[in-house]
Amino acid sequence: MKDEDHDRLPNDGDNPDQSGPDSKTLHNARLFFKSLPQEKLTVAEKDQLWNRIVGYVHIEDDSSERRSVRTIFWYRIAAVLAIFLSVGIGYRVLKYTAGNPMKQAAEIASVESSETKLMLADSRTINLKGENSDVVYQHEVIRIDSSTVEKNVSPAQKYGLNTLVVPYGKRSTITLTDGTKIWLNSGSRLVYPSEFEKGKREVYLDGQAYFSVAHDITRPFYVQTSSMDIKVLGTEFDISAYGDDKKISAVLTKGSIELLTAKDSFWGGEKSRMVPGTRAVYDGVSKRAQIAKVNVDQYISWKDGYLIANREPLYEVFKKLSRYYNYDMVLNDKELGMETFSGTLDLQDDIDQMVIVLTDATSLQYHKSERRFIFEKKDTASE
Amino acid sequence: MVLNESDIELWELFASGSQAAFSRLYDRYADMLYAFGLRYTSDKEMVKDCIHDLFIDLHHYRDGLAREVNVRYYLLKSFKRKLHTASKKAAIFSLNEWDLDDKVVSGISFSAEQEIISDERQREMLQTLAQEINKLPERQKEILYLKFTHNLDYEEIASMMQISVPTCRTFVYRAIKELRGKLEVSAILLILWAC
Repeated sequence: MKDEDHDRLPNDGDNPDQSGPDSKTLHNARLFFKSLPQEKLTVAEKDQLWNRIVGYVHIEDDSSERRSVRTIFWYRIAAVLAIFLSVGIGYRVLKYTAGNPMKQAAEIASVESSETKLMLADSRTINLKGENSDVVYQHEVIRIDSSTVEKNVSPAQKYGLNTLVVPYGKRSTITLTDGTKIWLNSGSRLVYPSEFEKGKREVYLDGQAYFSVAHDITRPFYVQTSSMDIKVLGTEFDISAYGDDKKISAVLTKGSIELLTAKDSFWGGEKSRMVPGTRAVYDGVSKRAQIAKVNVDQYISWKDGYLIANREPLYEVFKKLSRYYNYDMVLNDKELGMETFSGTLDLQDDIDQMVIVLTDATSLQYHKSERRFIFEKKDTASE
Repeated sequence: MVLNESDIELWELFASGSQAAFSRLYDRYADMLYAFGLRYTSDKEMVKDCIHDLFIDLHHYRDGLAREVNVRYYLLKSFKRKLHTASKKAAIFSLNEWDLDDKVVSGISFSAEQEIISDERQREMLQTLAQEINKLPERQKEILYLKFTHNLDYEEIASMMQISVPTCRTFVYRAIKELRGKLEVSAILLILWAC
């Protein structure tokens, strides 16, 4: 009757009028086959093969008449690829030593400031006003909100380190020279070079950020954090790596990333690969990463100005809000903190409105003093 | 898999000239093709070369590609043809009789690397099932592999194997009936750790 591909669904009837196996057995068979070990290309092999393909396609396009926007793209790839190959050995050596200066740069910059700060390689510091800033690295200049500053005073600092410090209560977006866009949440520090070197793009993060990495197979993008590195080929994901959290997490929305955890360990750490729609949580104590399927919106909604909580303990919600608004939020009762909260909070609301929404939805009441909210259990008698 | 664009959307984007889609198509299918190729031959370099050639061809002929296709099927079928040609070429040099269809889908196995299943006994049960499947004739094994690992429908499998649709269907039914009891048990185990 219908020759659509009903066949593909696990619960398909599979022509019940014929004496075929029932859908349950088919489903089981499918489950079994899917669980068979599959050979996989390593990340390096996959990149290498792709480079070969791109290289070939480029030559082919070059010799044909096809000269559209498309070819320009391949030209660029091929040019970068050539240079990358010639510095290949240097890159390997560098990779393992370059981590420390970035981490040091992040540690020098304190998030305990009242304004978002951009610290440039030539030791200029620019204060950014406003709750939400936007920084864009262009060819010669850096555009900050509506004004521009010169990118670099001394050519010697071409690959020098820059730090963007976003204190509690502020947010910022930044677009790097390669087109990668990063949303930084409150209380975060990002260290990156004025310009990426050939062959790799490397940044260091303390805090939370959402990355939309520009695709460039010749220059993998690495995000370093205190104890987990992420290798990216072009993708979108969120990382939460606050120094004061015991756990570091990465949430992947698109593409593919590779985690290198326990990087300080003698054995050189562990690698795991993530697929879209999953979240990896690295536990600093047990030194293990666990990857699970999640609803990604919940973890990345902050960048669009929402906080989505799905049965989240109140103390976690408070921790996030406290960072976002830079208010202390004190829960007098540990048990209250374990109560869960579900709902969508609009972070455009000011803190007073937000607290009213929260207390309405929970069994809490509050007092406010200065930059501090103190919560306790609702006094039922006063209702 | 959780993906933002469907295969067919990606395919159409690619066919209309998007390089980004070409790259995503590669990202999405390279591993699947690699695994598929290694079911037929153990020559990893040859499989990689075939993936290379397949993507070069796709890129070259992208303007003329059919738009309404099952992408996975299309790729597998073209890829199998590439493998076939390559293995014939290889056979000339090594003076070996090496017919692709005789060496199909060997080694359906549960290896010990499958560490998710920590329980020794459970692993053994799955291994027994794998052995049962391995006892099936090569072509039947290949049909099951295409059907269950790659979700192809009977028409697609039949066309790839150059057999009739009813024959293909009968193969699957017969095989499944024989394996039924064992499948039941293993499925429970699989569900346990798939969650």
